[in-house]
Amino acid sequence: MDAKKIQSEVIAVLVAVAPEVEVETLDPARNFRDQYEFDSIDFVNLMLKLETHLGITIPQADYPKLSSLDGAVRYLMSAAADPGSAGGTSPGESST
Amino acid sequence: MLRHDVPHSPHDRQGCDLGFEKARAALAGLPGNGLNIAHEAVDRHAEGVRRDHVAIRCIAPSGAPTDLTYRQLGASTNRFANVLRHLGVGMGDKVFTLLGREPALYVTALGALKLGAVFCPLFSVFGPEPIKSRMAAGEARVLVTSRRQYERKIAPMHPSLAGLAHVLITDEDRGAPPGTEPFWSLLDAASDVCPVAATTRETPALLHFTSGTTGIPKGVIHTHDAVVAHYASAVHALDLGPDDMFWCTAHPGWITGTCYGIIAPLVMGATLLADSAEFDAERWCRLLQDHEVTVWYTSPTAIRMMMRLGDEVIRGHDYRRLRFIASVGEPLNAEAVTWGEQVFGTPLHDNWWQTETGAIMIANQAHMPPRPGSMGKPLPGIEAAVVERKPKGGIEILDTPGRRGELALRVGWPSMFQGYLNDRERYDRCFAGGWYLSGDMVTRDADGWYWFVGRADDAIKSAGHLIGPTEIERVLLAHPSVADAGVFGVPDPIIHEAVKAVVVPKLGTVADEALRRELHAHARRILGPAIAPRDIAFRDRLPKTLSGKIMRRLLRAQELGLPQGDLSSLDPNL
Repeated sequence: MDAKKIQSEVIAVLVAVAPEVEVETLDPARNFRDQYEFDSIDFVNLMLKLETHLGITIPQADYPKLSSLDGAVRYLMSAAADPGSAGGTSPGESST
Repeated sequence: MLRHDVPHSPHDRQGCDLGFEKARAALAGLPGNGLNIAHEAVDRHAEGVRRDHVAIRCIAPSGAPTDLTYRQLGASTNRFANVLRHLGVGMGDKVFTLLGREPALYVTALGALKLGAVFCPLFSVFGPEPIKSRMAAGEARVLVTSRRQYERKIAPMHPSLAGLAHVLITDEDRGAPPGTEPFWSLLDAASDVCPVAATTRETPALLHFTSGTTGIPKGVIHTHDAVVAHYASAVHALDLGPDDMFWCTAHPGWITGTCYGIIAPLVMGATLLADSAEFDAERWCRLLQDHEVTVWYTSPTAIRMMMRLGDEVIRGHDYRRLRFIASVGEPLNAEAVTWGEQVFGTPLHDNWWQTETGAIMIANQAHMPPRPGSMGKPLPGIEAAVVERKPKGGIEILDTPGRRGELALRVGWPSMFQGYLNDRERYDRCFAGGWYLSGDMVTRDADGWYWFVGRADDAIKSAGHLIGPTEIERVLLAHPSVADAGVFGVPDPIIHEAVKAVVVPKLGTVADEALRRELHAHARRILGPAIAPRDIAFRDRLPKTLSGKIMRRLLRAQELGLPQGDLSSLDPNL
């Protein structure tokens, strides 16, 4: 998947969690929580929906890396490039 | 895990019987039997031997700590009390905050209390509607908030809040927006000398909003006497002493974040850790380790989110200073208690209280091994019972162990609420035969331990919030496509209950994914993420009583596929 495709997937999931988000004004470099009324539960839901949507596992320790659009795309690109690293396993295989 | 050099437990020193009279005697008080929370929390330390002890360690989102000693906190809160006085604010006026856990919050809370004003913190994740209804009901005279919160939520409603005389902005790099004043600049210009107001045990001090099934949220009033219970309960339920580094993770909009996130640790003379960032499990592990937290008070939602992180990450930190962990907000499941002991080396102690009780009432206490899954036992000075309301008024006390009934507390403890704002009748309905009726259903076992069963009303316990369904239904009904709406809680493995709404669309409206999304956005925009439904479903009609009330219990049972129970009051035409 290329960066553009991953970006549109992340935005789709973001809007599913917080449909009031105005995508046109989203600053990709800024933390989601600094731009929207986004609480901790929203953020966890975002991570869980990304896992389901993309068929990957995101260890909770990596969550902070996905706190902005740029960060999420970077993380998911690297996970796609290296399936052995974080993000490469199937859902449910993480040590939760 | 090896433990060494940990601060001694207050129980070693004070035993287990710090009743309210002993606690009151341990406080400084004011001349003429006066009492002031800020004087107990700040001034007596700022003027005494603990003046150079760190009162609050504020952690910036970057992780950088800023320490405030009791002497510095005394000076800042004096300055803020003087700012308020110059603005014409006096005894009984309401000072609201819409802030996170940041220095301005603590200065505002304690400065307002010092002046005899009433402190009312709001959740910063609330949307405009809950903020507006609470500020209007509470007759807010001053609001302290950030520029971002002001511009997003307050500015559009500012003209309609007639009593709101002053808005003070805490991040003033770009100056204060029109119609507001700069918090820190005003503070810098004020004198740091300020005598404490002549408040008494009966003077109103705190205003917190909570929810029931119906109507607007209830404004719960506590007086300065509550500090006696804050102090005593901190010893029994939190094992807190003056040498502790104490971290209460609750937001100040929740009463826990005020009573134990500001008042109790400062009254004790301890150091309070205040993290301004939102929940991040690994950051929390680092904070516990790096700041050598000894007593930690958090919520089941946070604990369950940390359990998801995986033991490996949690165990990768050093918690040898961590002596006591307590939890409140919704029931803490037995697995979480056991997990806490395995990874942190000390068990989790669940406790129970409500906005109305003003302090912890029932707890897995410091001097007793915790009983996983139980709320605990009543604190010294608190008499609890399981009761049943009688149809014609009054109550029956259910003495047999294991009987399910409503949790009641014998009236008269110092932090008992003194009223609901402008609603005497609703307040009176909470009492019968000298007991406060909590609205929480419980059982008590043969050993006197209490076990939470559920709410007696339709209020929803979600991630520590008590949410009233009516407030949400009203917002959904305001949408042009909605004919009817019913809101209830559904079980959730992390946040205990998640808010779900069932909506009946207006005739001719297509109930599709686009409408679901639109309603979800509508609710979040107005209510904020903490209150808005996490899930919305559509139906053709809602089950109602013959008198037209939504049968939320039945709706919930139908949605979850549970037994439907007594249907005698159901309107057969619906």
